[in-house]
Amino acid sequence: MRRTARPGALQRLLRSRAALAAAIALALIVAACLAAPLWADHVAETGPDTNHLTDTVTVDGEERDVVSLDGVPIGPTWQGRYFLGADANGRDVMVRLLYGGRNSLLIALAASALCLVLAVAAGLVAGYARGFVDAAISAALDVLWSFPVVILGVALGVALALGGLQVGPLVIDGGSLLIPMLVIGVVFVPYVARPIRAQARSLREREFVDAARVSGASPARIMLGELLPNLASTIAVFVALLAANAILLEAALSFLGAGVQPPTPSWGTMIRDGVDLLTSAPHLALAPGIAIVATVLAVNALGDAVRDALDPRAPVGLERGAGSAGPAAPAPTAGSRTPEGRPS
Amino acid sequence: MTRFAARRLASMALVLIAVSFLTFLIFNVIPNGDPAVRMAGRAATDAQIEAIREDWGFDRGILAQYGETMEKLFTADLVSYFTRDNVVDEIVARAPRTLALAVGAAVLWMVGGVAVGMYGALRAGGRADRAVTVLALVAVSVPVFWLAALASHYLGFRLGLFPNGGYVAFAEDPLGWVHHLLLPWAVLALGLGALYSRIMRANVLDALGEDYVRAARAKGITERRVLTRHVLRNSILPLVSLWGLDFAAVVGGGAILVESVFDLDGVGQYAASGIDSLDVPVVLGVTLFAAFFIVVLNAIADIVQAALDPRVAER
Repeated sequence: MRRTARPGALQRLLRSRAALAAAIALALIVAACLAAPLWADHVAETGPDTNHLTDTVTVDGEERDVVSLDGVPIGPTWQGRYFLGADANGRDVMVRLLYGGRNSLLIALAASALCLVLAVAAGLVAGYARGFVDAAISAALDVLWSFPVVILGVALGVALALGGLQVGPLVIDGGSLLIPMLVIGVVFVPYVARPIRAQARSLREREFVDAARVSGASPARIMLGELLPNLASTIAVFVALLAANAILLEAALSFLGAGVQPPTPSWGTMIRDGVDLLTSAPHLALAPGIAIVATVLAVNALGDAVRDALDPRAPVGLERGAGSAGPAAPAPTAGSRTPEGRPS
Repeated sequence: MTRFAARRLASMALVLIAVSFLTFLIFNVIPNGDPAVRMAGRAATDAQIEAIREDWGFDRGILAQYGETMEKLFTADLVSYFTRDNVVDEIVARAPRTLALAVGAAVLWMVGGVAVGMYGALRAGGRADRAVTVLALVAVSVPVFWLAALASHYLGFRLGLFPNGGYVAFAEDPLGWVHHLLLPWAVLALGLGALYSRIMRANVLDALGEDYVRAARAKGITERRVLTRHVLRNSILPLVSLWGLDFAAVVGGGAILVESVFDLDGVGQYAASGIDSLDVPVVLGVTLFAAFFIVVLNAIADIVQAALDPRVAER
């Protein structure tokens, strides 16, 4: 009576047209971001951090300033150079968008992986061990959960960006991408660990766990060999939810100046640079924003399809989101959350 | 039940203490974060920095500093490192703005989510339902601060439909208050409303298949009464406990991102400015303000759940 992924889940997933469309869109976005150097070298012929304040570009046979004398950058030219226009420093927005996407996606991916590892470990141990260990882990999760996600993320992000991090011989520079990865990875842990703990707790009472215990399996073996496979579908549902909320939180932290540090591009920092120039150069805020919406939408759609395929009646995941972050949270959010969890 | 409530309240206090200590710690273990150096300014001499350090007690142990800071917080003597404003007064003065923002948004996303979710469930599988599902998925995928910036620029600044940021007190001008808050409410409520609509839709579909609905129909009650009395009521209940948590999450999250964009100058905007300048007392005050809502509303949700379902208390 194990509750692993139901048979047929994969077939159901492959049959879903929405899942297919989302997967294709996501693959295209990732491929485009991976191809950033190709676009930069062969099409745009400039790097993500190269300024062109005094350069000109030929559009439709007409010579135009990349940045006008009163500081207004050129809008989308829809040709190789400055395809999506330039920013206030004359940097190519398309090139920055692709390189920024690499950073945003890398951060989201690494943060989600880190969060899953921490949360599954904490949830499994707490749920299986019970007693004092459970109380200690649960208390730590409660504290983290009670922190406002954005405040905790921003406080950690600002503090670490200012001073860097030194753990023994390991030194992380303040501008490193590792810092937003760490911050985002840690902030979402309770949203995932709590449901995992609850599930591990009820699973350990089942007969197959008793059987393993009686036959002399060690606690580690029971957790990894018996409980973990039964948590697989829950974890699979969290993967997409986490990735979507991690992208949103990276953007929010960078927007507040606590995520990726300039001049390194990310979708969040690009929006931060762009919102002040909405009047004269709306493409600066629109391009990265649309990239985020498209990516998060594809991830969410894929996540929904996975969830429906695994368990059509599953409740929505992350309870308090970032909303809106987050999922709000995002809620984790959603559900928080919020997812949307909605971590906003 | 009483014991459960008492235990829950005690753990609430402990969690708040832990949150405050962690916040304090985060800002005090920063390698280059010596507040005395930053307060003294650029051309400061070592003696000046030393004087500031002594004055503010930065030279003492971290536990002593923490204790003193918390004491000041509770006696409302805590002042900002940089502006020297009283942190508690500043938060109290701004709290009505943030609460007005969060309460209005919360009402909007709850009412909107319930209405849309109910509509979708009653037309499940139809074209309208599918359209709403897609729209909801888009809504939870939009970064709230980006939407806020676009809405404020295009609907406020360009079209002039809404004021270009700012806040008017309700007592001074009730209509102006609504006018200034309408856009921030809508922006904040969109993502959560979409999420609630999906939860609501699933709940309604579940409820429609329940025996008590079949029994009610069999008794000959009108369909309208079945929907409002039985289906609606049972479907909203799970949303209510989420509501408190999300409200708290907005106070400590969405508000920070949205207030600055709309220049509402509430607690969230205050937090953003404090974080920018690494102003520990400000961040500590705001974090505790937000954590208070999260912890209290969490505890209330747990206690209410335990009251409704005694098995919860025994876990």
